[in-house]
Amino acid sequence: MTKQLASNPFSKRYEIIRHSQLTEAVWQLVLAYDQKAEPGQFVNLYLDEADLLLPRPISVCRQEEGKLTLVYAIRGEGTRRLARREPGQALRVSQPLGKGYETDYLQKGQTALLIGGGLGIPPLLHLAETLAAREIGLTTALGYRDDSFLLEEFQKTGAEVNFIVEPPFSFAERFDPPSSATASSEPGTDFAAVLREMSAEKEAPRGQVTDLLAGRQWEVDACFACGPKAMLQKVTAQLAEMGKPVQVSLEERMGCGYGACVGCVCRVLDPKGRAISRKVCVDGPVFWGSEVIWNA
Amino acid sequence: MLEVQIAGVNWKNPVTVASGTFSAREAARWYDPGRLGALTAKGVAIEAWEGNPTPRIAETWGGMLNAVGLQNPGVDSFIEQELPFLENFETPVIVNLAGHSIEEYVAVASRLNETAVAMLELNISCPNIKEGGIGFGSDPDMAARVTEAVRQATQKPLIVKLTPNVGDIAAIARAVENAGADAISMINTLLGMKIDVHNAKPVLANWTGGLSGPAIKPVAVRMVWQVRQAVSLPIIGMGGIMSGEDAVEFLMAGANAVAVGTAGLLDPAAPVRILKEIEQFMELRHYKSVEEIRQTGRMMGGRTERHG
Repeated sequence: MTKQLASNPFSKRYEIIRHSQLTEAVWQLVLAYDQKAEPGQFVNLYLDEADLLLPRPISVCRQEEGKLTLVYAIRGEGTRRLARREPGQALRVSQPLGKGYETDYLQKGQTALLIGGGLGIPPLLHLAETLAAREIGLTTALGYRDDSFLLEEFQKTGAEVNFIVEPPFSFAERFDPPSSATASSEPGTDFAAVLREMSAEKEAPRGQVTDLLAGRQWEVDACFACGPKAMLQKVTAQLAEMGKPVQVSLEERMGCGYGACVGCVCRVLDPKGRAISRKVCVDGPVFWGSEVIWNA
Repeated sequence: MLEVQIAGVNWKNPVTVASGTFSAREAARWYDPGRLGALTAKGVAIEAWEGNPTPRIAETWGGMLNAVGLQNPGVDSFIEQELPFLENFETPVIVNLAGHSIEEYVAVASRLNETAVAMLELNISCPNIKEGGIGFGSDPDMAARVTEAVRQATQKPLIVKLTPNVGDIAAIARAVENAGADAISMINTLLGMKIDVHNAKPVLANWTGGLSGPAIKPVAVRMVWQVRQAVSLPIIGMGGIMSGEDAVEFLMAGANAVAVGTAGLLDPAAPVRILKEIEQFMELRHYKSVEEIRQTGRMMGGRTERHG
């Protein structure tokens, strides 16, 4: 029924290179993908099955030469089926969509704070790697619900990695290195050991990312956040008190992901202070925290 | 071979897009919208409407629910900002009219009567707004009253878009035909609901929404066929068209043209792909015109529908 177009610039089929589980619910998908995505942009994944038609819009977690990494959580039947797709198979993927983070104004030597919560963390890795390549200093404040993921990758960017986890858990046990993680590490760097050392130095941080943020004065030139709306609202308020603007990446249930259906709107203030509707998929997903009307 | 005439307006082919599923600006990034038989704009009201709160979209098996609530910038902003872009393409523009009352429908129709828009589509079938919309479309007398009032406010060919959420759709079709409609488009979405059982609440902020996509196609084909027995007006058929063969089904049921909706949300270029597939079907089955497909449908014989 959903026949493929021979050549359609909007979406094409791309091969799955790797597909692995990061935590109980979180998966990492690596595609052979040749288009350039800016940090904060997303792609639509299409299952192309007759019963589940809508795209899964997923933020870009990482981009390397010819490779695109996406991290997603199993949240329903669609993502459950997605998790069963295997390397060697192809998936229909859109071109990069949406407006990502503005970073042009940052100069070499300046610093940025990256604040992520849960599945809002993966897109910050693409941002971290992009900024690190421009020699911008990085600090993270990451909040996990339970199992953490991608911490090694953030470490590798040279960032000062701060993170916090919601429920109590056994820290040392958590970071016993899974064999695959050790194998993929750079030679000579045992990230699990680094993390064990961190845990020995500090009390295991427990709470929400907003607790982490409230804990100190952040001396940075730019702030970027991604996570649940309630978290972004609080983060925006916290940073405003410190006199720091923040760019936030909003999540909203989407239909088409490219601006036609008007399903994923948010309310923002225009430059004259009037409330207007914006499409999260094309006008965002990234907005300035100060322009978002949070309780619309 | 593909050209059709709908209420006196020449379309170069029988494929348009369903109102509310199409943005010319976005579509133009991937294909020339001028390749379509007509372009149907999203519903526009006399004043700006904010639409419903989010979530507005829910996925369902073989389809989707939407409760956008006819968010639109108002007719003046539409004429200024959107219409000039739509008129860049060598194809007729249809504007879908939204309103809460007969007066509002009349006001927006009058305003558009001064423009170069080719056709108007009266939306008396949106399930996602509290007043107006479906309230007018589910009662033959109300449907006739609003059609008649708008008919008098414009010289443009007037399409009336029908809702499937009625007992006797043929009765509504006859009522709008008698009231002066020039064409019928059908079907709008079927009213539906989805519950997130893990959080024990409806997925849509509006609780209910309109079901579209291939799940509703058999209902739409049946209703087009019923309305074709009841009226002689041109019918623009829609409801879950995903392929050229789906479109041909509507033509055989009695539609004169078709609109692609949900398929375009899954792939912006779906309307032009479906057009190409219709062409391929016609070559394969040796049809020389779209009208010939429709006539074939009439000769299928069998049961004649009289009572809906």
